[in-house]
Amino acid sequence: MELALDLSPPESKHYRNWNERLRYVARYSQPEEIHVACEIARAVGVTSVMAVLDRRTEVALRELQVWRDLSIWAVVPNMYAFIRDLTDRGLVGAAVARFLRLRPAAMIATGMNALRELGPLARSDFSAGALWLAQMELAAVQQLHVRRVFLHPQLTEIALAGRVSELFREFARRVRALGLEAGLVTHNPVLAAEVLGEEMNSFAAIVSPCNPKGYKMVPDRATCEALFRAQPGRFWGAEVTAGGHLRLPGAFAHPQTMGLAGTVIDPRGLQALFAATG
Amino acid sequence: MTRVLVTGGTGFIGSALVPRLVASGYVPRLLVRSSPAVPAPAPIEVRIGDVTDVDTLRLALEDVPAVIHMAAATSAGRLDPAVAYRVNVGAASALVEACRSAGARLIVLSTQHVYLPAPGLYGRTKRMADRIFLESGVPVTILRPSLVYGPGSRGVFVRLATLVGKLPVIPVIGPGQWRMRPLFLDDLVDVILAVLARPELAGRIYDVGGPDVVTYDELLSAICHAIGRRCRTVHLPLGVSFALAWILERLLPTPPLTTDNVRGAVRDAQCDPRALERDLRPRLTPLIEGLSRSGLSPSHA
Amino acid sequence: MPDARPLRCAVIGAGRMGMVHGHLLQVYPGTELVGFVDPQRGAHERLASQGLRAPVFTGIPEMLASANPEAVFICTPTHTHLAVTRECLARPLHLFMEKPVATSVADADAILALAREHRVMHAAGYVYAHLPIVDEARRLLAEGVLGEVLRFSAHAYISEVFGPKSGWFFQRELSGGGVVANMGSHVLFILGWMFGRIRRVMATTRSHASNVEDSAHALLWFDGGVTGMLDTSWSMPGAQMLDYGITIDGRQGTLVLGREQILLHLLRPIGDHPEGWSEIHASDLPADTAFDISPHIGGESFYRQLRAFETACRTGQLPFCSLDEAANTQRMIEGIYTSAASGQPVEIG
Repeated sequence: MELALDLSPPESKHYRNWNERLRYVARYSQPEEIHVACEIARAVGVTSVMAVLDRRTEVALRELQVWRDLSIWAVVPNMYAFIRDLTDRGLVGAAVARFLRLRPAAMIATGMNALRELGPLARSDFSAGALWLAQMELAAVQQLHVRRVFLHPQLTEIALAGRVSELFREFARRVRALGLEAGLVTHNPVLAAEVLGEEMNSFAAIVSPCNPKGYKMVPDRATCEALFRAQPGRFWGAEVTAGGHLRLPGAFAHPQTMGLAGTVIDPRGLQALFAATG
Repeated sequence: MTRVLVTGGTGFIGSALVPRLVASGYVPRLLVRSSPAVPAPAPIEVRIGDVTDVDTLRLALEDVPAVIHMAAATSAGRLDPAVAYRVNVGAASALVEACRSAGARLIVLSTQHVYLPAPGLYGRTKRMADRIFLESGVPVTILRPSLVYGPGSRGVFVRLATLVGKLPVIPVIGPGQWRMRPLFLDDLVDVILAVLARPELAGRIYDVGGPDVVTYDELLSAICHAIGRRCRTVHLPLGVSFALAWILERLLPTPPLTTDNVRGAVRDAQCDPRALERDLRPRLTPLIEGLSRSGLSPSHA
Repeated sequence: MPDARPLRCAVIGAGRMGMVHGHLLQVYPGTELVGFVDPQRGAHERLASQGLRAPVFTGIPEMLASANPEAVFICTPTHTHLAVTRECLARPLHLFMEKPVATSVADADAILALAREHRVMHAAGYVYAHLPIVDEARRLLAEGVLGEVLRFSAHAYISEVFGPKSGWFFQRELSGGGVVANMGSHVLFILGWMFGRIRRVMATTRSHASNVEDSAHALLWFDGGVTGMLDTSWSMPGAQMLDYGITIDGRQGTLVLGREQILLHLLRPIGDHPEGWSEIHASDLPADTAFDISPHIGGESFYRQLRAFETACRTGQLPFCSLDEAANTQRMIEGIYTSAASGQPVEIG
């Protein structure tokens, strides 16, 4: 069973108290610390790093890939940054801000895409907007060796609720066209299986909670686990420590029995694992 | 007799440390990249290998309870990022893994550059390495020395003394007022040996500096005095120094000035001696005496 | 015999919260989304592209006539809530009101009065109260594990405002206020739910960057004698989602409520709870949601909130998160603003 490191922004996680939050946020807001976390992760057997590509993470991963070959899984788009820009600058301003980050060649390619999709974009079409944002973010980080691209869970859950299967289909198609693999992060894997149907095969990895306490396993542990067993090798387990309630490495045992392809741990779990290894 | 694995044992500090290890009754086992031209005298052992390779380290750690880790990619010359990360950071994670397997403890030679708010590649990679060592749970003591000087033909200090002796006017980066605690080589070796003898100091970090706090200008003056020449300096603005260093790094394989050197010149080195004084009470050599013992003489002028 | 048909629900205001509720209404088996009301051009295409399949109307009367809802979810800007309620209650419709329910106590009371007059079920969107761990904390308090509750200390922080902001949300007369009304109110609601009617408030507010208050300190006195302090700011770094904490001291122990866990310290064993420290984690609580709309937005609490409202509509029993409770919250909000403006404590009748 493989291991991946979850580099979601530390500001997006839950903590036991405010001081713990500030400690982790302050630490992992530094590209250097993110880089160290990746090296420690590699040392404990992590083979992939899953990250929302904000500026500090991008800097850290660019430095890392100078000398290490960890697989990068990009989670796109950066919804927190987009929503913040949306409220500060409006939709057009937010999109323009991202557009201006691109290199000239990427601007042309992305601009051409936008022209083709101008109608839907102007109508604030959900799928068109999500895909264009995702594509822009990927274009902005072309120098990173991204191997897999995951749709941001905030968009995934909304799309699942609305059963917008065409978003998933098109997302997977565009990712494959880039020579990469597509993935999903969702707390609703059973609904995902229902909405995606056969399209599920287009996704190389689906990250969903898996732990013996059923924590965050929706609708319930038994239904999720039946799905995991039915699709061996497709799912990766998140929340394997049940919100920090279980210890690593012991907590790996359960997802292993489910036939999961791997598990995803965050820097807190990584710290515990590094200190415990050996 | 206790074996001690030493990485970087053939460098400036290592060349002073290894004989003292022998004199103190240890058996140094040196991990080196290539066979030495002259075989090491007994009881010194030599292992050929890469400090970033876990398997090499595991073998080198057979029957070895302690490691003194000094191997580093430094800012002595142009520093390639891939090399800096691989050697400084990669060696840290490899050593951690090997020491865990062997149950060995670590004494790590770090640098004052880790305290700089904007360190160069050397300082950054050493800081990252320190973080890995400290997070690992392996018993580790970290030593962060200030500018080390002493007899011998290598090291930053010797280059400095040579420059001082040769140039009619000595260029100084910035106003030259950044402060440091130049550390005599023998004193650093004393501290390493003292820490080696005290496993209970695992988990501690020590700034190791000499007793005298001097500015860079004052250090230059002291060197000039030791070699009997007048000290004429010209202070280069930081921007000019940085640009010059940047150009030199791109033109020369071993530039006399690097961007890391410039970064190190803009802030006082922290070098807080209190922890060291509390735990080890070392006898530290004053600068004037140390310069004299370093073999500096008017012949350098 | 309980009616097995899904509750027909319409959403008024198709902004961010309207869309979230729309999705939940479609996913939850006990409800049916029958319409949106939004005057913005292109709303229909925008909503349809997200899979929100209900028809979109530009006005409430048109929606009432065509969609025939049994309940409405009012997600328009706060200052419109009273007028929208009046318009909706042209017929008896159960009311779900996004928070804060009004820009003033007078309006909140008027909305409540309308709901009572029409004998409809009602609820307010203080969604954090529906977190399983918050529910558990309240249950423990109700069980009396702390004995007589004496005091509390609470915080509510988020990283949202670090510079000037535009939009109706940052205009007091439209949104009801700043951080207190729009973010800290989540915790105020929980405090009221736990400790009862607010009696007195003493507060200060500060504006860091926006046109409304960005932080506040409030001392709160409740009818039952519990006193405590809330510190709230939406200009704190480090939290993309609301970070809250409530520490409650009683004569027999202390309860520390966090996002995903409760730490309990008891001076002696009470029931199943041991003397000394123990922890209850969210993972220990029964899982009872069928859809998680993402931890970033509110996780399972939106689903539980909807279930509480739908159950109320079906059974005729008001939920705990009713507009009565929300009116108490509105009194705290207004008390904070009044006290901050005057520099004096405010007695609340």
